[in-house]
Amino acid sequence: MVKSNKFLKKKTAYIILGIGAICLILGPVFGIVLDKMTIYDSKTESIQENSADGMIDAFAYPVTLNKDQKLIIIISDFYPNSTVTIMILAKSMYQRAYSMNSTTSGVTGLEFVYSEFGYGTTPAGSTDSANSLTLPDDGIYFYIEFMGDRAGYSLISWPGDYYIVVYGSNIGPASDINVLFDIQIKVDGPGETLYNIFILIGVLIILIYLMVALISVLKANYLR
Amino acid sequence: MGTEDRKIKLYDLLPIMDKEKATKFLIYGLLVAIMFGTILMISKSIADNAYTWFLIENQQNKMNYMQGIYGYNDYVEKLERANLLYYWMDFQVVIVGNIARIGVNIGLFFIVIAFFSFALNDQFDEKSRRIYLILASAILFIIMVTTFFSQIALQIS
Repeated sequence: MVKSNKFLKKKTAYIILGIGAICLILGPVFGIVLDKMTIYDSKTESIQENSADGMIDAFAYPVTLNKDQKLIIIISDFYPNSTVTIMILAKSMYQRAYSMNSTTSGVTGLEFVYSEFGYGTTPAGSTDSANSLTLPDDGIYFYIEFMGDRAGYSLISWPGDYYIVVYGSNIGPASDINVLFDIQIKVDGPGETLYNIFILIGVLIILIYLMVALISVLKANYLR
Repeated sequence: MGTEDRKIKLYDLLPIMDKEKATKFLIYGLLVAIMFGTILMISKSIADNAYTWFLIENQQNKMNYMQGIYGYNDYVEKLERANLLYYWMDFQVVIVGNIARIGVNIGLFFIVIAFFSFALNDQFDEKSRRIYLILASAILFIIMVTTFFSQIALQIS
């Protein structure tokens, strides 16, 4: 009969290999779930027409970006009479404009990259860059990526504090002053890091256990 | 003296190894060799098919972008990661291959000892012992050849 030690007991083996398997399952789960974290999601966000005249009345959402962290904004405007413009400002620039209640349309935003998805075109061919976008003049649905600056269509990481600013106008009756739009704001989450860590731990646990089990069988039976 | 006993023990183990123990050596040697051999085959298969995997991954990445699941910079990042993984899939056979070679040689070493023990065991008839000795020598030759030369391949077609 093959001799074995406590490492090879069924219960111990199940526990150790189970932990390894759990890590291998949790890795992809965390990877998918925490890949992008939605920090703001608003269907029918409402601002008023005067948002174009003064920064105080514009929609503003603060975001802090770490090194290599990406900001993703999905904005759409499917509401009648609403025209909105989106731009991204550095915190210092926004606070200056806010304190002076500067004309929002007069402030220049930072450069970002946006995609117009579709089959048949290359990814680079359906990507463009801008420092502001007006909906529906430029389009009615945009997927924006931002990290601080850009070179071509590639983003350059400038970690820091930023503000997403949206202002607009209503081209309907004079009494209708509401400007509506949908916006979703996401940032890169720890998904990828967790995925790599969990997969590495899972693989190491299983490999080390198998090696230890093999050595202990050989040691118990032959190497004494 | 205790020290002398231990010295003799190591070498004296082989000839006096009984049939049962030698059979165990043979089985476990085979198991170890088969296990590491299988790992090597899997590793080679991964390396051989790395480019096909990369093409699939690249197409999936492109289609995910086209569907609007993620943007251009995520597409580029995933493409670069796929490139890195492809290079690793191609290269891992070098690392795994060398570890597997050590493992297979250890397994073969156990088998050689088992066959030598059979050959030295007078419970077997003369003809069988001769066959065991030839087998042990042949396996020993294989170990030496695969250890010192890496570019020898046997092709059966």
